[in-house]
Amino acid sequence: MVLKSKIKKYLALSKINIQRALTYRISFLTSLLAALIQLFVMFYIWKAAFSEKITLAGFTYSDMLTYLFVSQGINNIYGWYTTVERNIAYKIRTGDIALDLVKPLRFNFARFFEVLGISFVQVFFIIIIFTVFKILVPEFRTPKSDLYLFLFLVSTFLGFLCMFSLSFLVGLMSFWTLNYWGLYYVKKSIFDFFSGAIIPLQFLPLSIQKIAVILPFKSIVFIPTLIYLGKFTIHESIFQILFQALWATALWISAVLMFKLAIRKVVIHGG
Amino acid sequence: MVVRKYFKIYLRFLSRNIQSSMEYKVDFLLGILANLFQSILGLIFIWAIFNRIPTIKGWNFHEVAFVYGFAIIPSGISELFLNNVWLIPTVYVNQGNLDRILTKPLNPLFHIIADGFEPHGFGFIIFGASLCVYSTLKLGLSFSFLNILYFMVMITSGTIIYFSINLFMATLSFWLMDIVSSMVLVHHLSEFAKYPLIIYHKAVQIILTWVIPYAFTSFFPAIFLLKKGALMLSFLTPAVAISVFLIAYSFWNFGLKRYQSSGS
Repeated sequence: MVLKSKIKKYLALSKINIQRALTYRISFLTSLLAALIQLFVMFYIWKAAFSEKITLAGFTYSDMLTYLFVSQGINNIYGWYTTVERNIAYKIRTGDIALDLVKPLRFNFARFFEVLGISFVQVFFIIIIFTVFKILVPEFRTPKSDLYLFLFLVSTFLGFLCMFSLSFLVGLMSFWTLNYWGLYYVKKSIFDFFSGAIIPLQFLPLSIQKIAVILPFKSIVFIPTLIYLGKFTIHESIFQILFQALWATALWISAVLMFKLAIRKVVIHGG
Repeated sequence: MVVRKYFKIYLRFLSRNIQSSMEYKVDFLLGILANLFQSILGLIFIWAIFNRIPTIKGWNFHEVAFVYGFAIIPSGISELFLNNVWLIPTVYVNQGNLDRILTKPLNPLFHIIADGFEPHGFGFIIFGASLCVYSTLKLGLSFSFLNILYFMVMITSGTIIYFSINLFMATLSFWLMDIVSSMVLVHHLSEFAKYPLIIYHKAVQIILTWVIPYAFTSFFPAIFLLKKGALMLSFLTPAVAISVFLIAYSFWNFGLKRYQSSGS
């Protein structure tokens, strides 16, 4: 019973944010359309590249289009509008964070459920866009089997958890900078590169690949997308999902600890 | 005389704006880094593909890199000096700050633009210029005086095109409430200009050439230096820049005449 009422409090936050996303639907759709323009540019580049050669780094044209659509889709579940770091930076700058500290909610959980609400709306739009793609682009594939689809969904969720905690950690850095804009884009570039959102990791030089496979970023985009494509066997997929789960836990714990440290700074600054 | 007065005022504004942006050193550096990283990422994407294929549709890596570098320079310059055009819809029109500007004995557009300086633009300019020099060396193209002059004229034209498109969109805010989103979207179309135009669908090519002429900020001027044809369109670039500026500026003046402040 206690647990149920606790979850209810957090779900209320998700609900508010779904409503908020729907209220500001124009800005919301704009960020999605902007991502779509980016996707089109990459689509044409791949199309031109595959007009020269049948496979690149083990990817066929159909593999690559599917990779492009799925990876961009996942990368945009957590779009600009959803950013937890933007939210935290704002709370820090305006001092609103003090209000959150007195609320009977855990700060990390509260932020997570907020993001969950907005991402829910984002996923809804992404599914619509994907349905259209499926009709227009025959090379865009669906997962091999229901089992792969299930593993893909689990993997995407774990990737989302990693992304949340990592962004939360970046957000806390706004305790030291005024403008989160620069921080956001530096973070985004690093994440996009190591997560496989720009290009599948197989395309990178071996030395970089070796680093990328142990870092948490590949959990966000690369692992779920490859599971979707069926590039991993079932066994490998489960191993990769365990890798994600491990990082998700470690990052969540770090986020909680870092938040406690950062809060001390607020208390010291307070009058 | 008028030009000299404006120039002097501009320098005053600029030095004040530079001072204020240097006040927050971490943000200053992060902003530049952000743009630098973003453009490096775009280049890695191209590089990783060309690592597997020597040429795409007759273009090699250094030629594509040249277009990429060329494209981000004007975008960086317009961000550096002309960024305040982004604030016209919100800060100046919706919040009524334009009233304050209109009471000053200066050209209102000049005043708005002079009031903003965005150091982030440096990231694009530095990276774009280095990339162009690097590709020029690798391709064995010449650094003749005429080529450099041509480059400067084209970069200036490209900057004017960026600014004019933004100004045109921003002017719509005299009639429409939420215009920033559309402005962002139209600006995003410039992503297409970072890569050779020939890879896109015909319709996309036509739009980027004759409707929202971002192709003139990179592809058309660059192909002349790369000796890849379309001379006429290359040299049309300054004319396109002047035309879009005149259209945007007349539209802005038209909007300004009809402007009714949000104040009572």
